[in-house]
Amino acid sequence: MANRVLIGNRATGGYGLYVSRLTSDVLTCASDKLLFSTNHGETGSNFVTGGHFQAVPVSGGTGTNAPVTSQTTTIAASGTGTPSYQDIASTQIMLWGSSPALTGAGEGSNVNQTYTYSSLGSTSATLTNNGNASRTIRSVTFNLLSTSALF
Amino acid sequence: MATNRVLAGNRSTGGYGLYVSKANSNVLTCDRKELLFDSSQKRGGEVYAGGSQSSIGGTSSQSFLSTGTKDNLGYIPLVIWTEDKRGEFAEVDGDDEIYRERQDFIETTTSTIAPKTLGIQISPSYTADSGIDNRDSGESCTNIKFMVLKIPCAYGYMTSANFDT
Repeated sequence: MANRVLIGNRATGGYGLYVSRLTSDVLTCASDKLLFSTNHGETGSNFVTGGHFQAVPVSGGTGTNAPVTSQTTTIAASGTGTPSYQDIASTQIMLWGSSPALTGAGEGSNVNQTYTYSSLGSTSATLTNNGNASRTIRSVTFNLLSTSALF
Repeated sequence: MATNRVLAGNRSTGGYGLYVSKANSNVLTCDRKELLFDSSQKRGGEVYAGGSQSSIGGTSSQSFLSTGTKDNLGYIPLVIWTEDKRGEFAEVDGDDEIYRERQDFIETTTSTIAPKTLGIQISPSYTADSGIDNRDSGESCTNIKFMVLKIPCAYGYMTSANFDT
């Protein structure tokens, strides 16, 4: 049976937590064979970690309040809204939005239903509706994990 | 009563490994869908690389392996991204009309991401300066944020060799 979990000093990666994929030895396997690793090989900033891809709450998550992982924001044409999230995400976040199906396409006129996130703060961002009709956007927040431009 | 949330050991479903359950779920017995981390799965959503760029210029690409000693994974990975071109667009230009479910196309390789346009809608009256680019901005993008996951996601790479071992 292969070693699957290491909490300690790995020859490649140093101290941390490592979990390998099935049949791979966590002590020696290649990067792709690690299901989880606290080292990501960045020069000078080891252990920033890649972490797991998961949504962070937009509200709740404390005490007996269950975390809420998505929210909807309705914005008038050419207007802005303010989706909020927990400060766990700091300002290094990726907001992922989706919206209802576009209406008015194929009718001989421009229909712009694009939207833009900007001014990412510690608890909220600005969401701009670039379109010509009111739009409801559902947003999920992911933590970008590192302050480096590229991590 | 507190619930068992973390297991490093032998789980009845999954075998030896590391397991973390969601809140209020017993890591020893819960369904796999209730696990936040499950080392018995073939692939997981570990973030391998990523970042935030104010722009990537037309015809340019951004390496996501450019820091430190990050290895090439050997396949084209799944990249999750967002940028200023989110959303749908339907545009009319003379006799042409083009609908785009997404403007924010990117191309990924084993080491780079690059904004791309899928070309130009060509009409019967096509001339060199007519038509509609799907991005409306050449092949550039702004305010892109992305994460590279250790999951193969391209033709030729979604194989048993990459998923089962």
